[in-house]
Amino acid sequence: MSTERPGSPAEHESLSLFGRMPLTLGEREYGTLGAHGTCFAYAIATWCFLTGGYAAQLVGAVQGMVCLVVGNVIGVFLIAAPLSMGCQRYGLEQIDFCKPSFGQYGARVILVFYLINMIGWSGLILVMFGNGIQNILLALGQQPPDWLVGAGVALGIWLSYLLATRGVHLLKLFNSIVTPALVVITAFMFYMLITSYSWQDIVTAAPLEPYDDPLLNYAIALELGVASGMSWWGGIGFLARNTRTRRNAIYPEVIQLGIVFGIVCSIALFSGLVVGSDDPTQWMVPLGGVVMGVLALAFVALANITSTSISLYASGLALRHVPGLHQKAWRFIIALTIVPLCFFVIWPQELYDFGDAFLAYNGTMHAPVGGILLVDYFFLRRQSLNLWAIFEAAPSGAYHYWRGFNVLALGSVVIGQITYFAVYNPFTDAAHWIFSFVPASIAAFVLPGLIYWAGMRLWLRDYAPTEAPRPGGQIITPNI
Amino acid sequence: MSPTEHQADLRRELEERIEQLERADDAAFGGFGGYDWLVLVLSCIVAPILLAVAFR
Repeated sequence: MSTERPGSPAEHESLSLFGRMPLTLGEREYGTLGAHGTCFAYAIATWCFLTGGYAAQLVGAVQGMVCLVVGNVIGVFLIAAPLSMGCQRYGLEQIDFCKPSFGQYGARVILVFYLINMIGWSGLILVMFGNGIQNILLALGQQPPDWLVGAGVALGIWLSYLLATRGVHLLKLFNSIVTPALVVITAFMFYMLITSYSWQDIVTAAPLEPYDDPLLNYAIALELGVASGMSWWGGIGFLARNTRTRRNAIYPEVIQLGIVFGIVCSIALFSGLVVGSDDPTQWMVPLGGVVMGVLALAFVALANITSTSISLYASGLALRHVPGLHQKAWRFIIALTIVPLCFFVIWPQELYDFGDAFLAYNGTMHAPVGGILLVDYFFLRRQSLNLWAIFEAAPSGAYHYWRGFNVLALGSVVIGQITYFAVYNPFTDAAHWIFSFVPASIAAFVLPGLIYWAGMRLWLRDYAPTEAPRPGGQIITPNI
Repeated sequence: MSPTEHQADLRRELEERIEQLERADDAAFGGFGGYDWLVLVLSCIVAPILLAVAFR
């Protein structure tokens, strides 16, 4: 159970800040600065370098930068619009926001994918932190032991656990210190790159392993940008829920997770093109010596720990949907999110090698879910949700659908995934001709959204009234 | 507090919060009008698509 005295105001606050109780305006932490700082700290992690590094394989500096920034902005906006508006207005946790479209239990199916996304990304960037420690020791002429990367992952888990268990307020404080440091180090890394290699060198550098068809290279790089933007899906609701105004819910996400993320990815793209490595703990040492390498490692540590702690926090809130965990102590919940991360301590490199497949999986998953949520919130419900029904577990609830599942929404997700693979197969890079004009993520976003809209209008119209019914202010079976 | 009373207390708290959020004036959550949507759609959809086509 929660550690606060049952029934006390402290317990109620705890069950909203560390649980699924809708957050009232007075409980929300983020003003404009806090929202920008947290979004920035969340955005900047070594996933930027992973993404920029992939782009360097296919396209040059200018095309790559356009693809990464433009693709990210489009992806983030499409995915963030419904979540940020809805979670901010109603103080909702993200999986609760999925209930009007997917159903009471259908949202739990989304929860599984959500947790795989959040925990998987956290594991990958913690391995990159461990690799960073190893790279610096190698640069110092030391022979690091085999277990060092795993130990780095364990250290990262422990630091993230400390932050995530202390709550949003401490996260905000920590981010207000880390964010300026990250800005300075990122700018310095770019400065190092631009002074060691001229801008002309960067712009004229050829991509590392492109395909013969330049249009296909460009299309894959753009898809990488859009899919990266959409893969912020997991963190959007958590950030928006804690903001006080609508503008603070969406503008920081678009600016930091879209534009700034794309720009930092571009630094990795540039380094990949001219140095041959996207990992700053590798390329900073030859450029500026060990001190620079240590600085890069500090960057990787700070960036990855803040991002992982936000991911763990959001995952913990989502785990509250699991029966039996509704009112468990927050530390216990966060400890549960860490259990799967322990596999990254034991097999860091083996699991890291699944990174490509994981990125591809993310691309196919987020787009259809995002398309359905956008259509549902803006075009079917006209931004009006029935909060009573979201927290109602009884079958009479407005969002119960068929045995708790909206088969139409779940089926549309599957159609979206099939669409994605039909347009572009990320495992083989086989592409339909339409891929040269429309990124696969956009196709997998639009088509399920349209099918869902038509199905809800023609088949399940009673489930999508444009005005929220008010069942008399009482919940029969609360699901909290 | 017995478990039953505790559950009843949590239900009451949840219902109070829902009432509060549903009855709150939309303006309390910050303004967000047509101008904001115009800025977002132009800067996040229209301009990026034009850029992407231009550099293809």
